[in-house]
Order: sequence, then C-alpha cells, then structure tokens
Amino acid sequence: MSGPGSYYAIVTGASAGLGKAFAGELARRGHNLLLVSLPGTGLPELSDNLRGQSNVSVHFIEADLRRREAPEEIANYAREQGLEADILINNAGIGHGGEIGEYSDDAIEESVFLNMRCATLMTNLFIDELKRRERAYILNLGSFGGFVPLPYKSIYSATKSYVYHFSLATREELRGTGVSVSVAMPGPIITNNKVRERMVQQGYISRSNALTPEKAAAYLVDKMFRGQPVIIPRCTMRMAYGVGALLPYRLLMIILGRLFMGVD
Amino acid sequence: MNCFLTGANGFIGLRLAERLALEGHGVRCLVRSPEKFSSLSHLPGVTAVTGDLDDISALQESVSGCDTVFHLAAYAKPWSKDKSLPHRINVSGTENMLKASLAAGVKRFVFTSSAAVIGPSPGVEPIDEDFPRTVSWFNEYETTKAEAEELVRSYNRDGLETVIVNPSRVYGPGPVNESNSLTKMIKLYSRGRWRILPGDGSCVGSYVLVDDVVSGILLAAKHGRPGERYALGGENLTFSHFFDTLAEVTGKRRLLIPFPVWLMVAIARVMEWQAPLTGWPPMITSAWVKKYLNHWSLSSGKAERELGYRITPLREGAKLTLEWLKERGKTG
Repeated sequence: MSGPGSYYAIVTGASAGLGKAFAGELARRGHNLLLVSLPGTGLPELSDNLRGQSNVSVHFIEADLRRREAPEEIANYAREQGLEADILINNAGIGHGGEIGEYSDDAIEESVFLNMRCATLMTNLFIDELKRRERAYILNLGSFGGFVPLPYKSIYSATKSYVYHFSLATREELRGTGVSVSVAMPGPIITNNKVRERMVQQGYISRSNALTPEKAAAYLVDKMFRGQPVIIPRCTMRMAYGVGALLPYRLLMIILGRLFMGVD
Repeated sequence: MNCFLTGANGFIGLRLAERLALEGHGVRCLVRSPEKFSSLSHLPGVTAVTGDLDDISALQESVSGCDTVFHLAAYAKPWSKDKSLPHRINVSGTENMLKASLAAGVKRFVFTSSAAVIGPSPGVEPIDEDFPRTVSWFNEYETTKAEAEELVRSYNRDGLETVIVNPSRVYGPGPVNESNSLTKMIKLYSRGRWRILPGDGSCVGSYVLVDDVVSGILLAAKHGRPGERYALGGENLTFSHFFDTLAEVTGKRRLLIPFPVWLMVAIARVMEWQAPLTGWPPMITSAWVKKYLNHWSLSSGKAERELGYRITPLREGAKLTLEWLKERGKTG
C-alpha cells in the first residue's frame, strides 16, 4: 500500500548526536525510518529501541558514507526492501578544525567526501523518487559556519557553505514539484564531548547559544515540514546572523579568528 | 476484573469508574487525598488508595492484586505556572505507573492518551492513528503525551501488555470545568450565553461522547492488541455544523458572531503576557488558537474493526448531555 503512512525517511549519520535525535523525533511523529550510519555504532540497538517505543517500521543499513559507492548501496537496499522514501535528511558530516598545513590528508578527504560528496550523491540518487511523491522533503545539514569563512575551521566552513548553496540552488530547480529542500544552519549543538569541550573553551556566548540535539531536531523537523528554505535554530543565532551581516568584513574575520583559534 | 484507576476524578475517569462499578468490577482508585474520594465513594466495589504518581514503591503496593490498570491521570491544561509540571505528571508519572505495574505483575495496562498526539489532518478527510505527523507540536501536553506513549509501548513486554487509546474532543455528562470545555460550551449555548464562532467556523473536529470513550477504553482492555494504539473519535464536524446541531437539539438558534483569527491571537498574546506576571492562567493561548484553526478530522476505523467500537452521533450525544445537565439543574 502506498500512502503517507507507508513512506520512509532516510536519515544519514543516525547513530548519534543530531542524527539520532532526528530519528527519535520522526519516529515520535509516526514516520517510518531508514537509518544509515557506520558499522559498529549501535544502529541495530537504536533501531530496536525505536521499534519498541513507536509504531513505525525501522530499517537500517550500516555503510561508510565516505566511500563513493555507499549512496548507491543505500539506494539498492531501499529498492530490494521495497522502501519508498519521502524524506531525505543528509545529516552525516564531520567538523575537523585546525590551521592549514596541519590537516592530515585523511581529515581533508573525510571532510570533503562526507560533508559535500555524500549529500550531493544522495540527493542526485533519490531525487527522481522524491519527485514522484505528492509532498517530499530534503533537509541538508549546513552549519552557521557556512554563512561566513571560519578561520581555523576553513575546510569545515567551506564545505558547509557548499551545502548552503547546493541546497538553495536545488530548491529553486525543484520549484513546482512536490519536493521542498531546506538547509539547516545551526550554531553549536552539544552532539559530542568534543563540541562540549570546545564550547567551554570559547566561553560564555558560545555556551549560552548551545542547543541539545533533541531540541534542535524538533525545531529543524518542524521547519522542514513547513518548507522553510534556510533554518537557523535559536533566536540569538538569527540575531547573530543579522549583526554579522552588518559588521565590516575585516572586523568580523578578526572576531571569528579569535573565537576559533586553537580549536580542533 | 480487578482494576486500578488513575485520574478517577477527571472527566473521563469518573465516568469510567461509574461504568466499571456498574458492571461489577473491583475498582481501586488512586487519589491524592481522602477528600478527593467523595465523588466516588458511593459507587459499589470502588475503593481508594491515597498517594501520588511520584512514589513507585507505594504505587507498586497499591497496584498489586489488580490485573488491569487504567492510567488516565494527566496534566491536561494548556498552560502551567510551573513549567516542569506537565513533564513530571505526564511522562515521569506514567513511567512510574508502568514500573509499578510491571513489578506487581499486572496483565494489562491501558493508557489514555489523546488524539492531539496523532495531529491535525491535512484537509477535511479523516486521518487514522498511523498518519505521520508533519505539523508541529502545539503545546507541552502533546509532546509529553507523545513521550509517554513511547514509554508505554516500550513497556509492552515481560507479561505487561500495553494498549493506548487516543480520544479526540470529548463532551458529555461529567464535571463541567475547563477539562470538559465542550460540555461547558453546550451548557452556555443552551442558556444563550455562547455567542462565538471560532474563525469562520469551517474547521473540522472530531466530537466524541464520553460514554463512547469509556466503552472504547473497556474494549481496548478486552480486545486491544498489545503495543497498538487506537483512535477513539466521534463525528467529524465543522464548528458551524457543531453549533447547527446544538441549535437543532436545543430548539434555540442563536446568532453567533464569527471571531476573527487576528483578534483571537491578539487576545491570546495579551493573556500570555500577563500570565507570568500575575499567575492568572490565560483563557486562551496563541498555541491554542493555532491548534483549533486546523482540521482535526479523525477516523476511528481501526477501533471499529478491531475492537467493535461504535460512535454516537453528536445529535444523540448532545441530547443526552442536555438532559443530564437539566437533571442536574444546570440549565435554564
């Protein structure tokens, strides 16, 4: 049977942090799930839990999304299992930091492949299917750091700015179809201990803007369903965006440089 | 059946206690204080234990010996001064009841949730309990009830069978207060004191008689599949239809003034602004306005097919309610 209740939401990077929170929020709202994450990150247990506490169907596939073939494997799995998607959340990403010249090749490759190539391949692969739905949603995870160049997080902020432009451009291409593309541009979210430590280093402003994954996910999912193009959780972050846009470029770079120096 | 009942002083709970007593079941009610038992004490076979949902060991003791638990206690008001209260009662309270029931060897746990968890319908066509929600949660009541449903489902194991029911907008004989606002509205209408038509009156809601909900809860206890949830709705009607039906039943057609959305929102904003300052609960909140200006058309097909649930049309239900109000000397 096909209908709103039989479609699936694909969530990448679903085993922890924001991805896990997306899975929980969607399950709570009765959306079936196809979860994707690295092997050995507890996807079977998470799926079991979600099945136990909701009445949705939960599938998972363990795949290393840094590999070029991974998106194709996910599409094949969905086809074999007869899973039809109406939501795609490109959440998997990585946030290396440091000074240029000090990044390992692996860190660079990981950032570029995971943050940009994977989301692009997934969108390209699933778009025909999503277009067939009356309503379908794509949510790409950018970052507040995608609005501005972030010194000492240069690769990260550049990849996230790619996600921002890619999302808004595809959104325009898909006007007139049932597919709505949104891009999330959140500030800090306490997804892992690394983020927690960095926010302690960065001090009060950063800490006071931090969000829990659950709150962020609930907000982002809401706005995605409303078809909002650019989603910035927290009113203080929206204000920061407004203020940042008014500041002279040189001053903005000095502030950001000081804020992110020495983080990793 | 030996039953344990929470929320027995509530609108649905009281009616359920009466029905269980009438059918000859043993009913043990959880009440917060002995005085709270006064409305129940005349019912045969109904006893009370004093306590609250915070104390698991006391709950376990109270529940032991019962085979079925009906958990109806909830914080259902749209606004609370203490922000942690809805979570504490609706989520932690439910978890404590589940833990106690599992430990005490209860067989069936019937949780009364709300159709508000399922969400509004995209149009006037009814949706069922499996319809995925794309609309935001409107208030703490919905999110905490959704969280509680997850807990209830995850406890469906080790011999404890859990079933969830989701009643829509409930009206009918029962205490006329803010948790029974539809009956209050019917009462005011019959007295000619209700003059408002929300928005343009075109929004659909599902209006269910409290006796149908009580039957649905009992049917779910008997025939409900463990781990499932069942929408218990009534007739799907627009506000205009709802009031037209009241006009027919009461024989008095009142002129209703359409209350525009912007005015409702403006009033709600003022009320929300004063509430934290004065502690007076707002009569309406902007979340409430947004909520009721959606369609909430609900299908109870699953309950009808699997449980044998039946819907009383509003015409009959309203007649019954008015007669009950008259008997109580509460009209005219």
